[in-house]
Amino acid sequence: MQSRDGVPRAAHSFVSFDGGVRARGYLQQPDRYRFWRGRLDETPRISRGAGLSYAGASFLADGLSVSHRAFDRVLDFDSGRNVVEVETGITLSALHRFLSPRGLYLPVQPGHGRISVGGCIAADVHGKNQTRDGTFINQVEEVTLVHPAHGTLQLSPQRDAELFRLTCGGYGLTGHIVCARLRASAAPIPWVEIRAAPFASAEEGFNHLRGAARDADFSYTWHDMSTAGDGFGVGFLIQGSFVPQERAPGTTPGIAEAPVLSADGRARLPVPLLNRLSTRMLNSLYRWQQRSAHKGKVVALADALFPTHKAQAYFQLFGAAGFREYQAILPYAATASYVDAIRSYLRQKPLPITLSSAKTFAGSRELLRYTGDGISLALNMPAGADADMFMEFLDQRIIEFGGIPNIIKDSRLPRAVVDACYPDAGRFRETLRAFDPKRLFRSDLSERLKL
Amino acid sequence: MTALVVGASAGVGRALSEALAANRKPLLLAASDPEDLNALAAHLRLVYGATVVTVAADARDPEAFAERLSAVAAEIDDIDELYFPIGFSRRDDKAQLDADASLAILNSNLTVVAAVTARFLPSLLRQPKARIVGFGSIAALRGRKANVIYSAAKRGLESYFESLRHFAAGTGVVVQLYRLGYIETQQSFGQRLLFPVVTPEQVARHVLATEGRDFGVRFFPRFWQLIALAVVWLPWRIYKKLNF
Repeated sequence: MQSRDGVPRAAHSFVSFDGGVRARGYLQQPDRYRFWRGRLDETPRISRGAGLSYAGASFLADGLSVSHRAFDRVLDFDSGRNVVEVETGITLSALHRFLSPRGLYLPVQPGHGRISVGGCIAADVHGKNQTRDGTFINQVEEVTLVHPAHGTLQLSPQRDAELFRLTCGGYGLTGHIVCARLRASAAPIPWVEIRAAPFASAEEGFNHLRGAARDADFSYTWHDMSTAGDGFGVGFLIQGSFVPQERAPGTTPGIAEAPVLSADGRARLPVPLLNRLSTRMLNSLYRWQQRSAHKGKVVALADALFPTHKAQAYFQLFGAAGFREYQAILPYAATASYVDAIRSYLRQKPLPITLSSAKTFAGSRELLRYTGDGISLALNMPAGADADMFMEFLDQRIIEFGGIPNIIKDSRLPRAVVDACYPDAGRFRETLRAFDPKRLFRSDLSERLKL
Repeated sequence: MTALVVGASAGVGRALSEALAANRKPLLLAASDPEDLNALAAHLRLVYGATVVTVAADARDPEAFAERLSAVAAEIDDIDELYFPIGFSRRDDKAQLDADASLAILNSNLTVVAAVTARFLPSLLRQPKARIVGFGSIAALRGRKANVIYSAAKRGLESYFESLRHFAAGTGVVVQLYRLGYIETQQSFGQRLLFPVVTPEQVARHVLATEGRDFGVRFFPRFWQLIALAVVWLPWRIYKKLNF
C-alpha cells in the first residue's frame, strides 16, 4: 500500500516476544531522512525497533508501526567527552562494536545485543548494576523526537526537561525517537571476571546482592525456584568485575555479531518443551554449569553484557505458546514475605518457574519508570491459564507489599495494577495528553493501560 | 584511488558504500539528499575510518549532476571505480505517465549513468586497472504492463553497458552489469513476491567478490538465470495472460 508520505506500508502480523499478544497492523520501513522531514499523516502510529519487547510496545491492531531498522548509524563521536550520537535503530551490539575498541561501553544495557537503542530509551531499561548506574536515561544527553504535530524536537535534561523525562521511559508514546546522544563510560579492559558464589536461600542471596552491588560492576542472583520443596530459592550470586590489567588475557576479544533473535523465531517449536520435570533438569544443569565460575572465570566484556546470546535457545523451549515474565521491585522489608507467598502458592499449585533472577535497585519512583529502592525479582514460566492465575496472585501481592511491576516485561499487566502501584500514572497520562491531545502514538501496551 | 558510488544513500548503494569502506577504499558518494549522505558519510568515517567525500545532486537532471560530480572529483584522488546502484521507479508506472514523469524515470535509471560515465571514462581508460559497474533489473527481461518506463530504462541500460564493454575491450577497464532479482528495498517492501529476496548486503558482497571478472552481464542471485529463460521463451499467448 502506498501512503501519503511516499513510503510503502505492508499489512503485517505482529507478536510480542513473550507470545502473549498478536495483532494485525501495518508496517512501514523508511530508509531516507525525507520521511522524518516530510508531512507525517495522523494514522495512529508507534515506532518499532528490534520488535523484541515482551509487551506489545511496538505495534497496535490496525495501527502503523514505523520501523527504525534502516536508521542504525553512528553519526558523531566526541572522544573528549565520550559522547556518541547514533540513529536509534542501531543495535546495542553494533554500538558496543564501535565503543569497545575506544575503551568505552554503556554500563546500562539489557542482556541481548539485538535490542535497539530506541527501545532502550523508550522503556528506560536497566542493566547489570542498577543501584550504581541507574537506568538508561542516565546515559542519554539528548534525543531527537519527531512528531507530526510538533515537527522535530531536540530534548535534553536542560532543554524541555519535562518532555525529555516523559520520552525516556515513555514507551514510544511521545513520538518517533530518531537520534540520541549517549554518554559512554570507560571500560578499563575488555575482560570481565565472573564469580558465582552459592547461597542457601533466597533471602541470603538478596542480602549478599546488596553488598555486591556496591563493589562489583555487574551483580545479580540466580535462584532455583523450580520446586517449592527443599532447595527452593537456593542459587548463586553472580558478580562481574573488570579484570585487573596484570591478570588480563594478552589478547583483545573479538566481538561477534549478535545472534538473530525475533518473536517469530522464538516461537518456532510447535509444542513447549518446558514442564515441571524438564524445568528441574534445566535448573540442575545450570547449577552444575556454574561450578566452573566458583573460583572465577574470565569472559569478554561483550559476553558479560549480553549473556543471553549464548542462552537464547532457552526462549525457544517455550514453543509457540510462549512464556510469561513477572518482574517486580519489592521494598527490602517485603522481600521475605513476597518469596514466602510465592513458595506457598507454588506448594498448592505447582508451576514450573523456569528462571528466577534478582537485582538490587535504587532511586525514586517517577512517572512509569521501572525504578525505586528494593529488590527486583524476575520470574519466568510457560504461558497458560496456570501462569495467568499465578501472575494475578502476584499482582495482588505487589500491591499489598508496595512494590511495582515492570510494564515492559508483561504483556498482560492490567491497568488497575499499574494505577495501584505507580503513583505517577495519572500524571503520565495528563502530561502525555497535554503534549499530544490527539494521542497519535499508540500501541497495544498503551491501549491496555489506557495511557 | 577512489570509488564513486552514484545512488549511495539507501539500499544497494548504501550497502556497497559500507562494504567498500570496510575494504578501506576512499569514497566519493553521490545521491539526492544531503542529510542521508551526511549520515552515511559520518558513519563510514567513524566506524571504518574511511575517507569520504559527498555530492548531493538531483539525478533527474543528468548534465547538472555529472557537472557537480566532476567538479568535486577534480579536487580529490583519481577515480578508478564507478558504481551505479541508482534507480527510481513508481508504482503507477503503467504506460500512462506524462513526459516529465517518464523522463524523470529514464534520466534517473539511464541517462545519468551515461552522463557520469562520459565524464570519467577518459581518465578510467588511462588507468592500468579500472571498473564500471551497473545494476540492471529482471524487470528488463521482457516488457509487461507494470513498470513500463522503468523496464525500458533498464533494458536501455543493458544495451549501454554492452556497448561500453565493447568500447573498453582491450583496456584495463572491466565493465560489469548485474541483473538484480528481488532485493530487500523500498521497491519490494510489502509486495507478495514469487521468489526469495536477497539483502542489499548480499549484493554488495557479491559485487566485491567478483571484482575484475570480465563476464559482461550476470544475474544475482544466479537462480534468476533459469527464471529468465522461462520468461523470455514463454509463448506470447500464455505471457499475455499473466498478471504481473
